[in-house]
Amino acid sequence: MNKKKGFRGLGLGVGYVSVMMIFAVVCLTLFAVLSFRAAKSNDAFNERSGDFLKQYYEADSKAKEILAQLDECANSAVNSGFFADSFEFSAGEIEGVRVTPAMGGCRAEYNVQINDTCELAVRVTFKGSGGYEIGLWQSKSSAVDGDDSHINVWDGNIP
Amino acid sequence: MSEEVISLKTKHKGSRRPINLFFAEIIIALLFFSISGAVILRVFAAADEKSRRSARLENVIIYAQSLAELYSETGDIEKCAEMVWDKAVVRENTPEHISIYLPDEKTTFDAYEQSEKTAAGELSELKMVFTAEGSEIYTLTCTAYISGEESL
Repeated sequence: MNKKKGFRGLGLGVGYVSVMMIFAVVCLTLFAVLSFRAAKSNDAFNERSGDFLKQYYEADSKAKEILAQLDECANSAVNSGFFADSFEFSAGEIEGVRVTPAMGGCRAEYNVQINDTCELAVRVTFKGSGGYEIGLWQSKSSAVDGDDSHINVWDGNIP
Repeated sequence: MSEEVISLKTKHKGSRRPINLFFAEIIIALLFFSISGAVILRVFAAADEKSRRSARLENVIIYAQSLAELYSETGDIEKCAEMVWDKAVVRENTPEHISIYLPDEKTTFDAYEQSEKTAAGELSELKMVFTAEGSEIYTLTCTAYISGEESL
């Protein structure tokens, strides 16, 4: 009688331990999988971010090489005495560079591809008296007009 | 008398059976729990390792970006490193190579510089390599162009 009371006093029947154990294992498995997935997605995000940074600085390096070439052209154009003509001629030979006359000098514009969707746009104004001024050095979307990714927003014109 | 003994024996057997079942169940449950616990712990450990690696990579990317931006402006890696890290331990410092140990990140930073003089200025390339526990974790190459007027 006493033994029976003692056993019942535990309040644990056969099967209770199994149910609790299954519940604990399911909970722990769920937490483990969720934490692993969170860590994995965070790691993948950082990898992508690091890859983009590499691509950006690769494009930045190419843009600076072109800038160095343009500066060299501008330097020799200043020494020639006919800055605008000389600079337009020599800078126009560099691939992808568009040269237009600007106030007191020439403006050179070029784009360097970062990846499939982005490009680095550069605009530099070279002064006839020597030196240059960077007007634009920024990454922008390289999506062309008419592409599916273009969002139709109001352009400010009232029909 | 003999009937009483038999009834006592059966009563005794009847009360022990659930206890034995209960302990057998506990033993099986513990065995299963320890096996699944070991697997779950491994998953937690892998998640923790991935999380640490990710956090380290994130910090390294931020350092690399800061250094690249500063280098683009100054063209002097020693100055850039001084501006970014105040607790860094410089291991090697030559004009072509600088090696810095970052105690907080347990990471080594190596920078290799190559300069090329042009008619109008100086174009220099910097390769940054971050290493932790003997393996390369991130590499970034950036360029600085300092025109003749600025470099003078």
